[in-house]
Amino acid sequence: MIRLMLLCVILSAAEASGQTAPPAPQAPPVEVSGSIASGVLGLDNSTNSAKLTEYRDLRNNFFVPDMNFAMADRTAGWYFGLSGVNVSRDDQTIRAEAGLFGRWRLKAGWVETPHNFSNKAVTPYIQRRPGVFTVPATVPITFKKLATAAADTAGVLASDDLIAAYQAAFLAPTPLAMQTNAGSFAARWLAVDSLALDVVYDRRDKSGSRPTYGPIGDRPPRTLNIQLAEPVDYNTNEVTLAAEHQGGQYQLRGEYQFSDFANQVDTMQWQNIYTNGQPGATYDVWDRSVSVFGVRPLSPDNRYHNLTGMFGTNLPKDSRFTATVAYGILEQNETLLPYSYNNDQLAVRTLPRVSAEAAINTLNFVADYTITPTPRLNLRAFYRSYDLNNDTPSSNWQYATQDTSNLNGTVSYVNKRVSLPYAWNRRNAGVDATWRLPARTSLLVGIERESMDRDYREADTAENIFRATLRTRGARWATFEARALLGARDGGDYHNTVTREGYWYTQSDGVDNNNPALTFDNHPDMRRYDVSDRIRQQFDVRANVTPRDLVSLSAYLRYRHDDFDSEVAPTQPLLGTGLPDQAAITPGGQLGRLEDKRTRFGVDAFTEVKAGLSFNAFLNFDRGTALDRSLEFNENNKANPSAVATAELGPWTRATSQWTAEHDDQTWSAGVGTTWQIVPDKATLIADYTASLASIDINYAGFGVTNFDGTPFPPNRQFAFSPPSTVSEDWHVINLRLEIPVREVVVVTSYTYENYALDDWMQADAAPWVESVGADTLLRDTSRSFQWGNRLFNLGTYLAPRYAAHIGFVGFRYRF
Amino acid sequence: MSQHRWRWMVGAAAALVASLAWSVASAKPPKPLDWAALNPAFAGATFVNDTATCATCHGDYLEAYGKTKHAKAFAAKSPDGTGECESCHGPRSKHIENPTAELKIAAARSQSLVCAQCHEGGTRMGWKAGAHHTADVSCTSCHTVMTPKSERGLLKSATAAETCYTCHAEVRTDINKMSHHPVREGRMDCASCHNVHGSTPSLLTKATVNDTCFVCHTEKRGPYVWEHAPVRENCATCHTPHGSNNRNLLNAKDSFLCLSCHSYGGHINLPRYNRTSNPYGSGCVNCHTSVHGSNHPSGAKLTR
Repeated sequence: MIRLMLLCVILSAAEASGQTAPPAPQAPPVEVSGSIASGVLGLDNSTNSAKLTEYRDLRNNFFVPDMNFAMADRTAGWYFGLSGVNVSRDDQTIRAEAGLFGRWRLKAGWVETPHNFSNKAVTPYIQRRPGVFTVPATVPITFKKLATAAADTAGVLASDDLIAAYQAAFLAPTPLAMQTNAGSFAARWLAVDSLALDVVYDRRDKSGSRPTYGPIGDRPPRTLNIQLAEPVDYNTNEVTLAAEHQGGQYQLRGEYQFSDFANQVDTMQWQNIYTNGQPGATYDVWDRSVSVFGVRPLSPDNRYHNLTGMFGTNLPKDSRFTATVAYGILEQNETLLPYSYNNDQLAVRTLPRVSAEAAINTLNFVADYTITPTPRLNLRAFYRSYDLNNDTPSSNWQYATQDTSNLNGTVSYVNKRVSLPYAWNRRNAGVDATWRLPARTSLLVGIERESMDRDYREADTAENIFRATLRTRGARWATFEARALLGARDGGDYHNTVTREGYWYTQSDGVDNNNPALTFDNHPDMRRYDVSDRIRQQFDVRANVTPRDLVSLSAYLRYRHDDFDSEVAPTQPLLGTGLPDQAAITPGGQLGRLEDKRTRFGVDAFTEVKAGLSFNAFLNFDRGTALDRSLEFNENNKANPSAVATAELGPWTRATSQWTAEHDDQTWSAGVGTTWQIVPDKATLIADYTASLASIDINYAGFGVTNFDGTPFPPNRQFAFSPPSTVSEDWHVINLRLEIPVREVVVVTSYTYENYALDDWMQADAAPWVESVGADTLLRDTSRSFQWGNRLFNLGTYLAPRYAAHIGFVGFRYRF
Repeated sequence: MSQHRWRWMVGAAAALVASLAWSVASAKPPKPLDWAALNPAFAGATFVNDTATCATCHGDYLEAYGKTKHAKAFAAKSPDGTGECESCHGPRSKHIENPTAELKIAAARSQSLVCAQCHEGGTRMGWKAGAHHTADVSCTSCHTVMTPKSERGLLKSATAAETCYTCHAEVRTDINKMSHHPVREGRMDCASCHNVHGSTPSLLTKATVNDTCFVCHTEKRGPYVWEHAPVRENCATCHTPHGSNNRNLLNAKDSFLCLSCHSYGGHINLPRYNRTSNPYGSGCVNCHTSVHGSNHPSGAKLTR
């Protein structure tokens, strides 16, 4: 008995001691995880080309390529996260997020984006204060004449040499880059289960400089032009307030946004390097008054308000209705500059108004309805309406040409211009139906009509669009899709005389060629392709096969053709004017963009050969072709074309003065890549190669290659143009990265080789039509004519030239 | 802004707030999803409402799933009545009795209904009327709920761009061209301009191309005293935003773009006219610098 009792005691003690044994370790209440990678980057950029660092901050330095940190309490439901890419560089991204699930959320982001235009730009200008540029000396031009003639050739050529010498003495490097820093902060509060309130604040700062031009002087041929670095100092502040209610089967959302753009530099003023005005004077006397400074307003401060209401509800038969109404206001009211820097020389100086008073309001309405009336049929109907109303006052202005004036300060009647408040509205309505067919196949058919009405444009347009899509999944491992889109746009009556509304002189002011109210502005055979007739055809085919779990292959083909043929016929634009040439007739061949085609195809492949080894590859081709036509004619003989019937620069009636340009833009893009665990869990190699090979050819024919009578033009002839050399741009990138875990860290080494080559006749300093004088910073037409307008004093050609770059990185990643 | 417009906007805002207040006050609880309509095999099934039961067979998925936002959100507050797994996978009582693949939800539109139980508002309000849904793209075409592969958004690829290239490979070609938005540099992504869950034309974040571009390019918003009409209508008249072999994302080479609409005569009609520097520099923009619009009294020709 005693033994039994002792045994019970012992067993009880054992059980008791088992119950009081230390508890199993519990999961920590707060989970913490993250990783950080850091290391050193080395860069060798063979030509110091800005193209390599166009949107990247690459330099020899220590930085943090990526980091992330996360904390969360699963029980309480709160969380915090912090992540960063390229930390400490000018292309860094930092994001932070915190919240309580189901209650509130805070998000913050900071994104920096450089935009480098050039590391080799040079200029004689010095910025004395924001937006004001002066030079240490001016070009000692003695030949001060803008209205030049053939006899002045020697003088103008001598001036070219003086400019080249000036550049050699005074050009100095100038930065040409912008930096955009964008910050955002968003807060969401779920006030109750069915109501969410959002506040978002965005701030975007853009600073630096970008290339622009400062023409001074009368319209061509008398323009004294110079390329400049425009100062950029923008701030944009935006606030968005939103409230959203989630009902049982519906949602209602209201949103107000206010955006304020401020340019800290309102105007740009640059010294005219060719003038030597008297001290304190606003002008130098040539054969006219030429301003000693050029002045131009920069992007104006503006404000934007938008109020949006959105509603969506689920209805029976798996249907849904959504609607959106949005009202927006854009406005800016900057104080206007005078007509000219040498305003004191003008006969008319008073502006019709002293500030812009520019205002536009928009009204957007969208309604969508989808329904599945039977299991095999889905229908969708939509209506969209967008109205852009322009409330900017229309006023009568003097176009004081380019900061010069006649010595009597007058402005010719042709330069009496009216500012027009362009406005438009667009309506879209359509339906589409999707049938679920057997064998996992579906067929979609849809129609849509779009109509646009425009103020002060040549045409209103209406387009009918038809769509069809066939999708099938014949086998679980294969999908196929074919789509077709056909659009027929009707431009209606094309009113090329609408541009007369942009002038405020009457026909009797000038019965001559300069009076578009008498003759015309643009050639009557021209059709602007954004408002012309158009037939659009687009076909897409896409296939995807996944024959095995770890193999996939996809391919696509797209073809699109836009035909802008608008059935242009010969017209007599002077009929009824009483002019001697009123019977003159246009050739009737449509001018402008005639057609546009684009063909794309590509293949993507992926395979995992075995565990830890995978390959991927892609090949894409893109080809765009376009056809343009125009007709060269003398704008000084619109009223009397017969007077130049046999002149090189001839009448608007002559078909042999037409030219055509066939554009052929091709791009091959390809890549291969692999991820290979060389030693499983010990060493991983990631490698990829990407290439993009592009070319642009322009097959130019007609006037320019030859004269109107078929006589070939020599290359330095004033109008001679021939098919330019091929624009080619080749870009190759090889990336290699090796990751080797060593205890708690992963050692990361990477190497990148980038090669970029560019040939572009528009950026070159030598071509049949262009040559440099002294250096590539002074370009002129090879005709070496007596006219100033064909000289370009610039920041340098090929601002972002070709390069071969090696980029290496060594660092480590630590995970916790 | 004029007083009249202020009154209009304040009135509209008040109406909106009143609508919201009334809606909140009169709201009914959400209607449960009809799972049998998604897959008839669900008929008669009930919710097990026990994650541990699912883990006995599917535990290998849970480690990766545990790192996702869904897991963290459900850990704090499990969905009422359905539990964590079944809130998305549907009532699984029949699956426990007979574990087959019968209860899969295969149709893309049906899959979207599952996600829409929680994710139907905000930028997704127009999903059903949008091009993706119409093209039978489901939520799981782009998102992977069980494994975090991307830093944000539970995407199927590491980045948004790679996810989109799965179907829109032609855009990758454009992004690799000479002139491009900084997508491949990681400074922005497809969602910077596109609301992939919406129903606007081209699935843009705003109602029009211009409104979308003005989000970043506020300096071009204007309005201006002198407008360039095609600019005010559509930035895509001259620019191709995904990428171009021409500078400044232009549709055509410098002067040729302008020549496709302008034929006033003289220097305006030829790619080379010796009085001007058309065929070098920036072509017509050498002089017509304010091509997006001008605020100068003598800006009629956009030269200032």
